[in-house]
Amino acid sequence: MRLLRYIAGRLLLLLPVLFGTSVLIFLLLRLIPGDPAQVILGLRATPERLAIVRTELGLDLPIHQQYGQWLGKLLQGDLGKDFRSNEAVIALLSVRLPVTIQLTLMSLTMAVLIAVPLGIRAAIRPGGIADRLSMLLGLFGISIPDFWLGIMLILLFALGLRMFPSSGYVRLDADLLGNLRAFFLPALTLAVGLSAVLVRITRSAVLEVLELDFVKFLRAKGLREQRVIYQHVLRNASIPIVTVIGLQFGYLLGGAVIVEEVFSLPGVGRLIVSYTLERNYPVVQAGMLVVAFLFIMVNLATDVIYALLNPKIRGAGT
Amino acid sequence: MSLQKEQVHDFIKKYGEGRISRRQFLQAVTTVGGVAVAQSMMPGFRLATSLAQGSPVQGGTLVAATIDKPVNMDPAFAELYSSMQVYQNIFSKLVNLDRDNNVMPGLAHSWEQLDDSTWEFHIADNAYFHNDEHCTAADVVYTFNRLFDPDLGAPNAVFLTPIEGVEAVDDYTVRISTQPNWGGLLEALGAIVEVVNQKGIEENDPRLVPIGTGPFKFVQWVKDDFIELERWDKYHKPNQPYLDKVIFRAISDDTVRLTGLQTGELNWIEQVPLHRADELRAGGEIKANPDGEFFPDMFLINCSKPPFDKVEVRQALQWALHRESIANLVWFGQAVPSAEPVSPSNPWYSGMNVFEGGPNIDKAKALLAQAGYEDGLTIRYAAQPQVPTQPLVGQLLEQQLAPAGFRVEVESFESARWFEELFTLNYEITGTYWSATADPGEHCLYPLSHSASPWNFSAFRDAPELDKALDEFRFTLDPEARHNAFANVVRLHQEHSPQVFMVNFRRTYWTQPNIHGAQTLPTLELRMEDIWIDA
Repeated sequence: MRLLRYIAGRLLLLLPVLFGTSVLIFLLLRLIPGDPAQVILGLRATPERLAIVRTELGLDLPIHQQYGQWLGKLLQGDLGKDFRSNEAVIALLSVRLPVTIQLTLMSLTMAVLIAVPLGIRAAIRPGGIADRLSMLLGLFGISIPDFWLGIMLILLFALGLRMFPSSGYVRLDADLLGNLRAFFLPALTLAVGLSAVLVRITRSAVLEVLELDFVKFLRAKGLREQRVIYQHVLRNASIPIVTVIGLQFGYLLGGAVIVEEVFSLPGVGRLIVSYTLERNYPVVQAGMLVVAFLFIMVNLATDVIYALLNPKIRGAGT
Repeated sequence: MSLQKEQVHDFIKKYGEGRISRRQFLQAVTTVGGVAVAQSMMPGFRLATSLAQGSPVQGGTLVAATIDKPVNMDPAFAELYSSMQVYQNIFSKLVNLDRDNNVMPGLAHSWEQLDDSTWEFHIADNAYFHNDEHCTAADVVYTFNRLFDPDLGAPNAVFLTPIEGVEAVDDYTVRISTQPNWGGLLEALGAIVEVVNQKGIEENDPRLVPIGTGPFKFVQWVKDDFIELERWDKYHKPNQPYLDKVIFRAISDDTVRLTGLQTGELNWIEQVPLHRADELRAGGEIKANPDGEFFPDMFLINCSKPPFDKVEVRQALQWALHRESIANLVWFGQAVPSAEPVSPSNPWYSGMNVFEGGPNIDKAKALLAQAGYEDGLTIRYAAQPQVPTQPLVGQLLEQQLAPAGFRVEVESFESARWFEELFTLNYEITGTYWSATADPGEHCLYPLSHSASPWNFSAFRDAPELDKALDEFRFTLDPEARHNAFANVVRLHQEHSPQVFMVNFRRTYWTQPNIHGAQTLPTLELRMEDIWIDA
């Protein structure tokens, strides 16, 4: 019951946060230089035509009216239309969101599967092989840029070993295996960077818990080492690990632009960047808002997991 | 009419009506020794290179990767080259241009000039739009009316301003009236005007659903992913296209695109990493198709304010420029230095260079001193980072121009900001490229430099003699006189230098070895109807 109240409280907080985010996104986009009408008309731009297009797009209205109109439509479920192609923004996003979400889930899963076991092993035997491997992964993963690693993986696995396609997107419902093969290299590219952070966090968190008195007590009690580590130590060390996973999840939802570009994946990050460059306000606003919403939801899920892991947090939240 | 002429006329008629294939037509004309006759009856006719490439094979899917994504499928807007690359396979033009700028039949199987301002085009009677509407002269008239509609504001209308009227003589004959002696009509039709259908335009959003009479029909467009086209079975040219399907993808990274070709995921790609082009050409693993220097790269100069309002400063820049270094260091030798919009391999090349012998730093310094800049000056070069060559050119300019006294500051602007700099004339000097080698006088020098042109981004209006030379060039029909007039335009353009031409990029399309018929054209169209795949 306390947990449900806690979740309801957090959901209520969502409304002012989303409102604030929408204002911020709206204002920031209009603060950056560059005129959408100019971009749309390109070489056809004349002062008269610019004025017509600005009126058509509602860009000649005072900014608070523009915001009001956008918010009004948004509340009715209308995300607007792409300035350039007239395509519904919701259609653009509905194609890209599954790509981004799948890429995020696959890369995080890979990262967790690599980093958490390695981090635990590294903490159990500091200075051992696993520890050295974790340090190597940490150094490599953080210092290697995504775009370079992506291209190297393409050259190795696509060109050299011919195991995976070099780029492109296959829909999950069209061909499951093809879809997984298409996502493997981009997910791995992202996972390397993510695991670098995660492995160091896991190692230090587990190491810290291992030094606590209750672990000595559990060992003295004669509990098997596996149970000590995986049932007690990991649970107590999991708060920072869950925090990092939650943050990275949110970051990936809008931030995997470079990997999406290298592997030609039609994701949300790429959409937002390319449409920001052409000042396509409706697409960028809706895209950013969706990403912000998902980010907030992921944070909420992270908080719920905290509460599940540590009952004391439930009380603090209500 | 001689027997040979009659035979050739008969072949042209049969070809136009779709009763014989292009290949049969070419063979028949060759058999009766009628190439010269055909040339006289169909201006610019020349044997196509496809004859030398073996027999085309029907069927197959071509997966092609361009660099940039398309944004708009309406040909009236001609928005971004990446859009044109796709939609030019969906629409037909009245005439086409081949690799040597010869005019070939398109939707029109023949044409004749009635007097110095009237042309008649006879269009195929078997052409259908992809919505099953029969294509007639009325569609051609609608196409031009739409392009000239001021409310639409079609950008390409600027190239067609000498056209005074378009009318349908009968269902399959179109008469175009121009200002007297306009010499650029056929090239304009071959490079710019895609024929559309009123119902097709009005029933769907033409930006998203293109309907033409071209060899391929639009199937679907998954934004940022791919565009799928399929063979149009009612295409008016028999046996063409050869491919069943073409899938266009956009892959921005050169290495990824190349890897896709090497692994067989792609059949055709637009460009490889420039530093690897020579090695890949020699390697033979993939095929470099017949290419050409069809992409002039240039500087636009803002002549409306100091320091470039003074012609001496613009000329000093020309004298300080080392084009060969730029071609070698920025384009890795995949570009040809040229002080005019075309390179020596182009039939339009004039060979004119009033800065012959450059770079000459002494002359550049003297000109700067003459303009009042004895101590040198600081200039701003606006580069677009999304065009990878531009920041590199900027870095080279810093070094090349410094001895003459130019202190170059390189500024980066993403596309929206770059357009703003250009249109508000806030820039001083910037780089751009221009696909205009089909008719460089009409499609490049005129729009960029004529004082009356809306595309004169240099705000250059101080040379009535250049305007006069451009008008003389444009309104000259005789080919030889037109070429001489072009050389005169080039000379005057160089003397005033409102733009500075650097290099001409060698555009190469790369394919797997079993792909035939691909070639670079002066219009930079990707004419997929000529491509076939060996089984």
